[in-house]
Order: sequence, then C-alpha cells, then structure tokens
Amino acid sequence: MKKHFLTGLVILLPLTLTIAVISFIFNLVTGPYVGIFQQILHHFNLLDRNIQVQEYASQVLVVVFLVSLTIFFGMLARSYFFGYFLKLWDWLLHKIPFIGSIYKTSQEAIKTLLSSEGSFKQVVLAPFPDSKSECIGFIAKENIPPFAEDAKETMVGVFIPTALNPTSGFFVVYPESEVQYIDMKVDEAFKYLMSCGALKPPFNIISKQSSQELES
Amino acid sequence: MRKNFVTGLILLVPTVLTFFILSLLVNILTAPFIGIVSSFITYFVPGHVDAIFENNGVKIITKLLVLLLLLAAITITGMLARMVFFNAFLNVVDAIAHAIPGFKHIYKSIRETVHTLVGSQKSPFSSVVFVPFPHDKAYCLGLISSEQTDTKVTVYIPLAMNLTYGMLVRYDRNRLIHIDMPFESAIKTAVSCGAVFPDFKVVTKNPNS
Repeated sequence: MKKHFLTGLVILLPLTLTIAVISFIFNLVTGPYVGIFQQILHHFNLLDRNIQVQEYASQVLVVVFLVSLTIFFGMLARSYFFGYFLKLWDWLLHKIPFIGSIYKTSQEAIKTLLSSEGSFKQVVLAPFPDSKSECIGFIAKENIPPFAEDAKETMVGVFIPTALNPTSGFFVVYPESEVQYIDMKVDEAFKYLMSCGALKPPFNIISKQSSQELES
Repeated sequence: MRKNFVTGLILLVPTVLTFFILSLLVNILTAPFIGIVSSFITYFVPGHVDAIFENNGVKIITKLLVLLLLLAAITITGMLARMVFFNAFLNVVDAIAHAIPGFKHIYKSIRETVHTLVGSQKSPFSSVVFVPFPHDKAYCLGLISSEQTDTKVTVYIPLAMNLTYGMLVRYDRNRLIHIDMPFESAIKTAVSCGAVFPDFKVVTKNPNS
C-alpha cells in the first residue's frame, strides 16, 4: 500500500508542481490585464455562458497580446522616428525626481540581464564564507579595478544566492584568482540551489579563457 | 523574431516595473486610510459605495487624494511644530505616550530611530565602503553612518536584492576601504545583485578622521 502510494506520488507530484509553478507565473503576468480583456469579451457576448472559461480565454489573450506587443515594440525600435520618441520618453521619466531613479535602475538592470555578454551567464565557485569552503555564485561583473593602486589583478563581482530561495543573497567582490570558473549551466546551478543540493549536476573547473570560448 | 522580442522587453519592462513599484508604494501608504475615505463617501452618497469603488478610476483618484492629504498633513504638522504653543502640546503627547506601559518602549525606540534617520539633514548612511566580508579575500559593499568615534566602526552590509535583510558587523577602522560611490548607487548595486555596478575609485582617508 505504502509503496503504491509513494510510486503514485513520484509520478504525480512533478506534474502537479509544474502546473502549479506555470499557473503561478501565468497568473502573475496576466493579473493586471485580465479584467480589461474579460470586459471586452463580455461586451461582445463571447463565452458568456461560463465565466471560468471566459477568464481562461482572456488570460490566454493577455499572454498573446503581451508577447505580440513586445515583439511589435522591438520592431518599431529600429525605425528612426520611434527612436526619437523613446528618447523623449526616457528624458521625461529621468527628469521626475523619485520615479526617475527607479526607472533608471530597472532600465540598467534589464539591459545587463538581457544583453548577450551580460551578467549572470557564468557559474563560478567562490570561497564563501571562508577561504577554504566554496559556494555556487554567478558572475555579475568582471574587470573591476583593484582596490590597491599597485595591484595588477582585477576583481570580479559575484552574486552568491541563498539556497532554496535564490531571490536574496550576497554580492561579493573577489580578486579574480580566488574565483573558480566551472562549466555548469545557469539552469543547472539553479537546480542545485533550489533543491538544497539534492540534485548535484556534475561539473569541471575550467579556465576563464575557455569559458569565453564556450560563450562565443 | 527573438531579437525583436528581446529589444521589446528591454524597452517595455523598465516602464512596467516602475509603475509596478510605484503602485505598490502608493497602495502601502494609502491602505490604512481607504476605509475612512470610503465611509466618508457612504455618508454623502448612501448605498452606492460598492458600485463606486468597483470603478478603477474612482479607486485611483481616492488613492491620489489620500496621498495628497497625507503630504499636506505632514507638512502642516511640521509647520505647526515650529510654533511655541504647539511644541508644548507635543511635549504633553510625548509625556502621555511615555507613560503608557508597553506602548512606551515601542514608541520611544521608533521615535529615536526616526529622529536619527530623518531628523538630521544629511543621509544617515553617509559613506559607502568595501569591507572584508565574509573573509579576508572577499569584499562586500557596506554602509556606514558618518559620526562614529569608537575604535570599531559599525557597518551595515545589506543582502543583495532584498535590502531589508543584512548583517551588522563591527570592523577596525583600518580595514575599511572607502570608495567614492554615492549612497544611491550602492543601493542600486545591491538591489540589482551587481548587474548595475557603477565605476568607483578608492578614497584614501585620513585614519584619524
């Protein structure tokens, strides 16, 4: 009996969890706009018989709308006129005292996150919390100038997330030689962290040069 | 296709995020007073409050109104506080608050914290340093307040992403590495986990200052 129950769990739990995670993200993204779309559907008397179905339909519509809007904006950004408009928008938002600094920060963060040679693409082992133990970290910034003027070695900024919940952690700056580059992929590293070490992907220590070759 | 999507994300996400953070702040600030305002509306327009409050426009306007009223109330209280008689009144309030058991400890510590954080004209955390944390060959960004005369300096090391957690560590003065990064940039660096990390220069400080 117990064995059958456990086997059932092993089969069903991953599926349920996956659906739960996806629907959580889905609801988070569509949440602010579902109301509007549902009103539109309601206005045209579409799927009016079942409110639940109407809600799901509007959620799907929201996702389709958001994705196409994003692609549309990306296409527009190449045109000269729209670029001018964007500059105006940026200038306007930067001028507003408090809002401007929030906007600027999110702009810079998104740019570095999404650009191809940006941060958080390379997994490393960094000595933390003391020099003889190591933690999984992500390179946030390379080539930081050394603190002492006579030192030649540049520093690297490493984000060391906490386990299980990687939304907080430490941002630590190391001399480059202290940090070991490894060939673990970012999603594997997250798996390792979020399972608290239960899933340990195999990895090898690589040199910094070869890590750049892998990227290119 | 993919390229356009990424470009679009870079353009749209900052704006969306800004609005999201702003609305979060506005909601937190106005939440305690929305009830009062809605009962106020009931008083004048009996029976239609739910209908009124279902309208998003009305919601936003009430929130803005509450925000404005709060700003006005704070400013007016500040103006009044400069008058002599009002000061006496404030002293009475303080005395009463201090007399209530249980209440007084919370009130007192909050009052003192607010006084040091907001009362002085300059920011309480005046300089940004690198400190050897968690060990000698690793450095974390730390914030220190300006006036410290102890032999050890208390440094606040915020966690990345979530600044409301952090470690309070006491360091010898000569182990601090002062840098010329403004306070705001340090906050940005911490919130973005180092994705936004402006250039900086090490400042050599007179060890006695």
